[in-house]
Amino acid sequence: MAEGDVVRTKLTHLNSAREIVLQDPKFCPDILGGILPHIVASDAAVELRRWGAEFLAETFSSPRIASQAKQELALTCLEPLLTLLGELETGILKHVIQSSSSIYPLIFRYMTETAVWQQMAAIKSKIISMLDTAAEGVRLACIKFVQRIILVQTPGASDPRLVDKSEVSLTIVPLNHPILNIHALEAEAHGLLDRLLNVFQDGKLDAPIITAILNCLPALVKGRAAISNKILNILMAYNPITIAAKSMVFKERFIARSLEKTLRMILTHLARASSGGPHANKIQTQIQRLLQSKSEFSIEVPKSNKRVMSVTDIDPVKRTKYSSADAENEYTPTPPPPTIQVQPGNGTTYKTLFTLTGDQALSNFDVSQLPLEMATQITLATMYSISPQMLESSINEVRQRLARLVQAAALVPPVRPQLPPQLDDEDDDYIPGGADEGDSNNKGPKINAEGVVYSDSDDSYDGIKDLVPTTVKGKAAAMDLVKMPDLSPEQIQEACEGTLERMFETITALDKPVKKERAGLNRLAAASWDRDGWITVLSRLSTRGLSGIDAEVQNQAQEDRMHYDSLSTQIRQKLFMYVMGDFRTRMDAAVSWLNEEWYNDKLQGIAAKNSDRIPLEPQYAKWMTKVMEGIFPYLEKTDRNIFLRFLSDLPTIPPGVLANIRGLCLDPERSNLGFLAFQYLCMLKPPCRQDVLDIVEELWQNHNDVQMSARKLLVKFRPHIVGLLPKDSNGST
Amino acid sequence: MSKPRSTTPPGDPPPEVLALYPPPRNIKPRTPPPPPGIPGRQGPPEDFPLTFCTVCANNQNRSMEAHLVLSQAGFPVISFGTGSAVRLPGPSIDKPNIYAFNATSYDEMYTELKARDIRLYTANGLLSMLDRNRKIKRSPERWQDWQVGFPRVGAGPVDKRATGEKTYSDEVESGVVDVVITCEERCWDAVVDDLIARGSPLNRLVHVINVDIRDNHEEAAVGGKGILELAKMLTAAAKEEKEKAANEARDFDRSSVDGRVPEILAEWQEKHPTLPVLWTASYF
Repeated sequence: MAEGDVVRTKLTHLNSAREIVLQDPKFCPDILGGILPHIVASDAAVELRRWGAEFLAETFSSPRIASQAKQELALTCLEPLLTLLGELETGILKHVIQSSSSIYPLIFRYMTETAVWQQMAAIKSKIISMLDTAAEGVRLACIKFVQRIILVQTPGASDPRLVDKSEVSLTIVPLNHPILNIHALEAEAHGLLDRLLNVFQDGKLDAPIITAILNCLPALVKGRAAISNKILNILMAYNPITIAAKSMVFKERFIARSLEKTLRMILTHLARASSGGPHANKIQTQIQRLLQSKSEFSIEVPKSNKRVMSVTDIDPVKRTKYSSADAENEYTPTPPPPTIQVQPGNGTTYKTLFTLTGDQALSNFDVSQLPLEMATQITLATMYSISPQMLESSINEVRQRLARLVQAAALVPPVRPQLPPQLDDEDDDYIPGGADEGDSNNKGPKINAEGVVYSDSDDSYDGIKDLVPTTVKGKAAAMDLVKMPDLSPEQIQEACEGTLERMFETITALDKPVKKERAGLNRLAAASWDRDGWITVLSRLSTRGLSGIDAEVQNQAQEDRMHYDSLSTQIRQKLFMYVMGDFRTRMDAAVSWLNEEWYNDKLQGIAAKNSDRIPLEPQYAKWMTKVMEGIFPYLEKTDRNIFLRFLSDLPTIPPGVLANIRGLCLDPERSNLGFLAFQYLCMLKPPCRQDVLDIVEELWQNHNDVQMSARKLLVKFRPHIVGLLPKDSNGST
Repeated sequence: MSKPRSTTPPGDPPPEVLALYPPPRNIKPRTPPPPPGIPGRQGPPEDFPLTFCTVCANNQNRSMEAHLVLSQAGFPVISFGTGSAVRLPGPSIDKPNIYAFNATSYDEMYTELKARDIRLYTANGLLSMLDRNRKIKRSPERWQDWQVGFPRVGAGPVDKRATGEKTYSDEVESGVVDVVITCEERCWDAVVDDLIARGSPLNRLVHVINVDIRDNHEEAAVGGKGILELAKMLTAAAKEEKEKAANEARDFDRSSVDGRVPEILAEWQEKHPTLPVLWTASYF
């Protein structure tokens, strides 16, 4: 009991001493000297040792104490630190190791006494021995200590302009230093680095350790050229997602997401730091790869509230600089095509035409060996990650080659060597159906024959645009594909059903973006593949895209005397069901869809007027009524905003809907909503005002319970009906 | 190639939009919960072995809501924003009210906006938000300007300090924290990047956690509650480990709270699936 009191009193004293130091760091040396013996003595209470360790850590990391003062303090603290390292409590050890990380560079710079170095070395070896075996919290502190050692024991920047005077590295140690052996120290640093980097290869998912190491690495890469390559190579090969993919337990998914994001942040940081440097490209590639594998394994939490920050979206100023520098760096000019010298008619094949790599082994690889699925995946992955400039330049390259072929063909008189077509491993399946005739012996004359037509065209682009179909036509003439029988209306219907189902699955899976970019006039419908984009695509498909096909199939179905729901009707039905699924949140979709319908009806009307075509059946009123009928049973008083907005966003209100609203007025629960809607329509939709007022008048006359509400409206618009003086005999116009 | 330009510079959050469409006739002010008069820290410091820091874009809505909730529960907590300036919604989306971090106090913003359009700023909840904030601390602070390790004592609102009464805690004596909680992925990115750029001179471990919260009052309140629960879970684990260490001081405790953070976060995430969480262990 008494002992506890003593400890408590001591702690109070210590805390007030700490407060003094916090207020003015210049008292630190005196106070530290005074309390040091009390807090580290092995017979001191554990509370005191705990407090002491924390105080030491705080003191040596404080930015307010000059490093000269810290160095002097550090020399007095080596012995106590070594004693405290014998502790077993995680909390104490963490703080002691933190202190050691802070003083290591200071001691290293001071290094004139062998005794001091021996003490420091003892501390060092003790901490390093804990690196792999201690409790996790201690290991995390050890990692930071090891990072400090590596920073100190490797040569810093050699360029005198870049040298930071306060930085401690091997560079400050003279070769003939009496105590320090440069080579041994550097070797030790490399060994420690290897131990750190090991975690990326042993396949374990020890998240705190890995993220801590990841966060330690950028300083090493940026500050120590000698080891940056090694670290970067490891980071390039590391992909936490593939490791996590093995087990997809909730926790592992979360960890994988965090690891991947940490890695990506670090690479982004390094890419920015080394932009223009030799590694920038590599790093960018790895960032892209990570993004891609992340999307493949979809470890993103399904409902993310915010737009994900783009890779470089940190500092607007830096970003502009960065992306412009990037664009230059990323552009790798396509290797000079190996076939340029090859004359047409002398071995020009589709393969040589499209080959963009100079790698012989790669260009001899027979792609058709790959299973179709894998080939698709590779192609998709490539399309996903390729930079637009790269793609553009590659396409241009091929265009130019084709143009050269055309020009050459026009100049060189057709020669026709009588050689049998060669079927060899050069055949490539870039062009379907063209593989077995990829040889120029067949192609040459055809190009020549047709090419003459274009020989006067100097504009290679035009020439190419036309040439491609020409050659394909030539090929098609030479080979007859077996004609597949047309799909029967049933099959079409079935296929359509499946496709639609998939699309709606996607739509419901997509989350509504929280905040839409307001692009104003720059907006393109369905430019982004979000929910709204899909709705636009679908509604336009149903209104405009499919009408031609529908007419055709409809005729056929009539011949076969079977029932056929046109594709557009199917889509409409699906859209309708989708809106009904949750009309409160999907009202936007309904509005945009119905507006498309209305617009299309108008277009059809105009088209029918200008030509003899039979106009398609108007759809807007039909579906509008349907939607309204669908939602009316569910409308509640609280839906006022959404309902009025719906009415206001639609171009016209068909009479059927007005009848529905009348029904609302008669429902005692929702009567207010109905009259609100009527009032709104009267005020803001003049075209339907008279119809509305007719209904209201009828209500006023026939239904006593809503007479009051109806009267209010009539007073305003048809005062003569309710017996007031007619201000305007025709209602207000 | 070029994206449509938004009116605010990229990298900075667009001001939150609180407008309704169509505007209902009687606008009910959307208020953050009024700060009740509960005193701040309720227990001795050793009851709260972890210190916290909340971060959002503007140090106004989400981080301050969490700051309030945590300080009411007694946690040592401070808060920051990562944007380049404090952006508050203005009369229209392209006219935000922009203030400098650290320089303009919540009180000044409150007075200015009140004078400018009391109806608008009452309706969108800005005034009650600023009123709450000015009772917590003096001014919004920018993360990037934070001098880690400088003692922070009594940074609370001026009038409170004069009377010696502290309603909410806004101090971490040592100037470092154990856990940083950001409220948006971009803020997490900024914090992690900034920690790397600082080069971790303090050698001190810090857990950086993101809890994705939408920037409006309702979501901020929900997120604040979630963050409080998370803080409680982490603190409970830290206490547990500390006691374990004290009891069996003969051997290493095999796990420490640092090692348990991912586990705790995963457990928390399962309870709060609508607040996506992200985490890394970094150093100050």
